[in-house]
Amino acid sequence: MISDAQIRALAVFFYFAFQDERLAELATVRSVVAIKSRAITNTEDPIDLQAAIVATTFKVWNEYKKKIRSTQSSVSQSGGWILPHNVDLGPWRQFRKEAPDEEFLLMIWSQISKFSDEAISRGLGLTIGTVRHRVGRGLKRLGAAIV
Amino acid sequence: MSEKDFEPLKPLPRQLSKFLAEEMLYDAISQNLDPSREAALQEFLQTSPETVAIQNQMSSARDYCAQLSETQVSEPFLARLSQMKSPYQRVVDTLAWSKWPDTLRWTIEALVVAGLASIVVIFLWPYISQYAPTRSQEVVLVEVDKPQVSASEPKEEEAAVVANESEAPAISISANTELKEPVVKSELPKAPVAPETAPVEPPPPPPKPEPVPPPVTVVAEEKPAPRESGQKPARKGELYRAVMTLDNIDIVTEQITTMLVGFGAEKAGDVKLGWRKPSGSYYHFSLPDQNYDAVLAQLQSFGPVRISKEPHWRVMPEGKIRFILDVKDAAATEANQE
Repeated sequence: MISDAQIRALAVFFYFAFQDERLAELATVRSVVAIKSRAITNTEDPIDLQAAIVATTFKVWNEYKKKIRSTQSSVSQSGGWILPHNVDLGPWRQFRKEAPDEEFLLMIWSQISKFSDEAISRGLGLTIGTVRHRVGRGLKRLGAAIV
Repeated sequence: MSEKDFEPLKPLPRQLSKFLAEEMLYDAISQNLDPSREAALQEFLQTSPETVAIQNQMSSARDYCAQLSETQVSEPFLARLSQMKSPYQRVVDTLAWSKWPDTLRWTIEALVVAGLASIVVIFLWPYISQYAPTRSQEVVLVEVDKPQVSASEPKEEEAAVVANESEAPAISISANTELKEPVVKSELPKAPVAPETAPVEPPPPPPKPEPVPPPVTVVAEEKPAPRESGQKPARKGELYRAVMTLDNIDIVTEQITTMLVGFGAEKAGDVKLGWRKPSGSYYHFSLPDQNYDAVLAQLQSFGPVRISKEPHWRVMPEGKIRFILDVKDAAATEANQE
């Protein structure tokens, strides 16, 4: 069984990863079905659960990133996502355009989805140091885009 | 020199490079640095405004991401996502046997059982049938007694009573067979049509106007005597038909019956000799062929005789002929003509 919180985490990840509501919905559905069929969420360890979600989303991202039609965002206020009030997605779009995939994906998992560095490293098969290094670089790049 | 001459070296203060300082910035803002490194970094930051700017940018980015992390998903959208199933799961749910209508399930089950039974019968019947009890395909038409007969009886008697294959089931009777009753009354070829009315018993015979010829002893001869009447003896497969029209039908019937019996006649049909019918009397008999002329002469003494011979499928034993005599009542005949 997959909880609503986990479904929300998947939806938010793909929203910021694709910046395309249609593609984000498709990827979210694909991830939900994959997690349900593999019974990934049966684990009781939260680290393992986060690692499983990281692995699944990374796999689905690789499947659907080829369908990204343009770098322009395609989001609206009438979609299924509700952004905080007065949040500008400009810096994020700038950051997404300039950063490599592994950098902004790690930023989403680490800074937006609030997954632990250990879970991210376990889900992607990387060392914790590598994860923190890339997150640091991502913060620098995003910070420069904000300024 | 003693140990007092040597003083341990004091550690030199760690000095971070810009590269190392920038690498430790993320650990610093996420509060993952140990105290010594934290102190070293803070000391470096006091000498590098650029690194401080980078640290501020990273802090801003973290705050920005914290705002983005507050993004929510609408409830309808969340509900729709949670109900999503894989195509395989959708197919499985659609084809789930338990969700099919009861009528459809029973029909399919019946078809499957019927199909399996048909397959078993088709492919396994040849093996099963050999263990099944079989019935004899012989049909018993009639039970007959088989008396002992001598070897001299000719085989031609086998054909004495033979059913017409085209009209009735074939019944082969051997030479040793003697029928108790007529085999199949409706199937054997009949003699000329017998009247349907019940036979009428003749009245007591009146005084005989003519002397009754004495009974003639039939002498069995190997070869029949030559005949003077001009009629050849009946061969096998032939029938003699005779028609007479006489008065006093009751009297002459008795006389003719007695005469025929005297010459060895035996009834060959279903009715007795001289069976009475409204228009006359009827005789169907077999007769030794050597007595043919004598019988004919006796009949002619009663009155004119019209006799004919016709082929017939029924073959009589050697030395026997078959006769049908129809004696019509003259009075009845005149009444019908009027």
